Amino acid sequence: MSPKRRGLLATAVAATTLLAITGCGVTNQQGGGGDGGGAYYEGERITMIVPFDAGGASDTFSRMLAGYLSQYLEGNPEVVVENVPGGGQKEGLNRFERASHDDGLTLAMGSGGILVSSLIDTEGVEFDPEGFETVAAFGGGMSIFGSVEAGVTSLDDLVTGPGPFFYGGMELNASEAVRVFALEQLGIAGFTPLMGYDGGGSVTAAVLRGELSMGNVTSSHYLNNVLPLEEDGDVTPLMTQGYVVGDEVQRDPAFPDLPTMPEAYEMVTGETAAGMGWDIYRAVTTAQTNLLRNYWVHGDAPQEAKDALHAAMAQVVVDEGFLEEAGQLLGEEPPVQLGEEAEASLVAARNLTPEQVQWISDYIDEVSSR
Amino acid sequence: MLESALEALQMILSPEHLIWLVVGVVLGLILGLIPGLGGITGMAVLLPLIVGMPPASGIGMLIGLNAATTIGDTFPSVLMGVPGTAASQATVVDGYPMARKGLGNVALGAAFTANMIGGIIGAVALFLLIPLARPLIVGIGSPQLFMMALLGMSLIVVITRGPIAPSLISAFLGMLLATIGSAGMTGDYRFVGEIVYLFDGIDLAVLAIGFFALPSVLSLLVRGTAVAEHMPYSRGGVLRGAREVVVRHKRLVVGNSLLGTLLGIVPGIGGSVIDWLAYGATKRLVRTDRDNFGKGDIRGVIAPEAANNAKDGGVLVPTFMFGIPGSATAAILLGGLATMGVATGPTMLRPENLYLIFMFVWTLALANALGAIGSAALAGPLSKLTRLKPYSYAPFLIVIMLLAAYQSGVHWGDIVLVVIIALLSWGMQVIKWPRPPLIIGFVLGQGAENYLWISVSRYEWSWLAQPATIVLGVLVIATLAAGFAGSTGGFQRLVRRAAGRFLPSKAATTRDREGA
Repeated sequence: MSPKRRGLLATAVAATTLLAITGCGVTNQQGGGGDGGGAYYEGERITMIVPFDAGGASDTFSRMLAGYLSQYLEGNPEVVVENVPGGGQKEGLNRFERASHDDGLTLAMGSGGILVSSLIDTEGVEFDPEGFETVAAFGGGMSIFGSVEAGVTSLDDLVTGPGPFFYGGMELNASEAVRVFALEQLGIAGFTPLMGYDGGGSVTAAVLRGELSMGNVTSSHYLNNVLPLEEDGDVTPLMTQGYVVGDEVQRDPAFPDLPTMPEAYEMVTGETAAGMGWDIYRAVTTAQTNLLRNYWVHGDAPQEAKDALHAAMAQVVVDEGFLEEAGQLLGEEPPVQLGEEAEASLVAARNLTPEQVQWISDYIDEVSSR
Repeated sequence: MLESALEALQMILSPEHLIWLVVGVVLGLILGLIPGLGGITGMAVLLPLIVGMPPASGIGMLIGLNAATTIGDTFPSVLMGVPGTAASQATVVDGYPMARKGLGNVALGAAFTANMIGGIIGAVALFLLIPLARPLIVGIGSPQLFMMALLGMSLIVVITRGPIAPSLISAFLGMLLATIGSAGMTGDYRFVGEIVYLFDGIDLAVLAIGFFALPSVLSLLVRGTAVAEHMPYSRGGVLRGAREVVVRHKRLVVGNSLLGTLLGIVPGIGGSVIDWLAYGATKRLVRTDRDNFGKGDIRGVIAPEAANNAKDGGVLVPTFMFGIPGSATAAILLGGLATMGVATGPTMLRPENLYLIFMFVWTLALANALGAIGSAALAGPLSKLTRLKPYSYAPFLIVIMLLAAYQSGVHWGDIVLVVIIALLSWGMQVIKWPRPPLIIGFVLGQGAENYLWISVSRYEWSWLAQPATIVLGVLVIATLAAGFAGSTGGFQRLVRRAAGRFLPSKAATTRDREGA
């Protein structure tokens, strides 16, 4: 790039930023002009609702994805990310539900957590995920690691140690509840869950100083931030939440040597992880890890629009540049599910009976009132 | 080590990176200038643009923007009495009276010089503190974080002008507002009613705009006169302000810069708290003319401005070392670094990555210098703003602020909330209750609640016996005791005044009856 062009680019960036600040939104248009005549999205502008604040991992990932989607969609439409945070994703998904769907110009992103929590905590929910069609679902694991400072150097220490053992996380929601359940099943002495840490970094620091005997962070946070501490001998990786394939919880591809929580249970107790609690564990894990970040078009959108989106997404997820950027951002290439596979996961995640929903709700109340 | 430092300097000084740094600084100045918009907004907007940029350029732009915002925000604070960002609220207290006396340029000059020196000290401190970061962060547990939040609150309560009881109530009110939304510990929603908007709690930007910025502009409008009505002569310019800082108040600048850096390291204490703490500490510690504070004392401008730029260096310490963002902007910065493939966390300390840290250090220093020089050049033309009648610019400011409030959450509820909060703010001004403690209570409240919950669940009550907790606890009690001693009868006065306001006086009652 010549200095002159660089200057121009800088001016352009400044102008775009000012426009964006004054409320025009940020565009991720990649190259203009359509190539094929009559492509469905030719000259259109797609809005992708992201129910999180600007700047977080989900937002950053979505904006990057929006750029690639625009590039691969026939007709190169603009794909604009609109942040609609609030109500624990409910605001954004309600807005998605209310949007007109006859033109296929509105997409939405949502986490797997909302798929389960909208069953348990129906307050303010005006949308129905059953009506959403998944274009792509990107997975992301959860890793549980122990504090050497607190005397945890292996799974054995945790199970045979005198305790008490403290486990830490951020918020006691359905996803956290199934991890607490799984750890509790291991029969750890004096097991106490502590919630209220304000992010993966805080959990990691608390594990480092031994305030927590073990903590849970996303696998991508682990790979980016905790792995060096493991190499220095300050923390011990213990287990992962795993991914659900078929009806089986399988190992996190980023940590092939670590047992999943049901495996850990079987190793420690010699029993099979079965029963209501573990069924719920599998359903919630499907939502939490297989479906960490979902991109939806509404089921009512025109078939042509859906076809175009599916075709473009299939190309995006094998694009080298996309995979590299995703890997840099998340610390790992996220496992991805498309089309029917993603739909199957969505059904599995939401396939909780009323008794099971009640069970989680009661379990959360019970744990938080201890 | 020297090699890494030179390598980083070389990278930063290449024309490409300098251009991006300048872009960041210019944007930051503009964002700071417009009340209600701040670094968080700018970072969020710039973020998608840096995807795929080489790290040195991206870092240059983001850090440039961040540093310059806290320089540019001085303009509206001094010239209009409206804080440009939440981090320059304390500057209003003395900066605005200075502008009204025709000393606007002096105040600006002092502020920019303090900004620059503070920023550079912060950058150097970042470099020096990195090796100490680990013991610091590992040594501070949840009980200590809880006590530090209490200390922060007690300090702000005590340093606020006037009786201490209203101050305390104001702080508690802020804490109460912070509990709106879902509780992390139990997942319960509190005080949200049926309003989905409140599920995530109140946004700090919305609170700050409604609580400080909007009422200030409205009062400008109501008064209807220009800030500095007569400006027949300008008593000294930017250079005089700069000289005051460098010659007369050098200890003040250095001290507050160090204070800002140290406070920046503690996660959860944002710029909006740090500038008040610096202001308060300075007011307490100076020996001469303490009564002059609040009436246009240049030291009241220097202290918060030095601290709020110095904190940027401190904030980056936990951000880099543990991926714990020390502030909201740092959280966005982390996201940005990730998109550029820059891994934060303990690996940054390894010899092969050391150049990255130096890159931040150089960028911070350079951005602060550029921002201050640019601002100094703008001070002359912009100080004419003080002679404009408010009706010519206030409506514009109100629209911008409402837009900024809306922009933070993109929800009509934001606008409603801003108006409700502005009414609360107006009410508090009427009964002369101090407002800063409320914001501080809000910022520190949520952390305090979580840390207390964790401390009790983790250690039962034995955490109260930890030495560090005791030391901090004694400081809290001493601070509050000093405050109460300094305002004897504060509570009685408060009750009397509140009663006077709320019990209808004879005249009012008569009027009501006539009206009915």
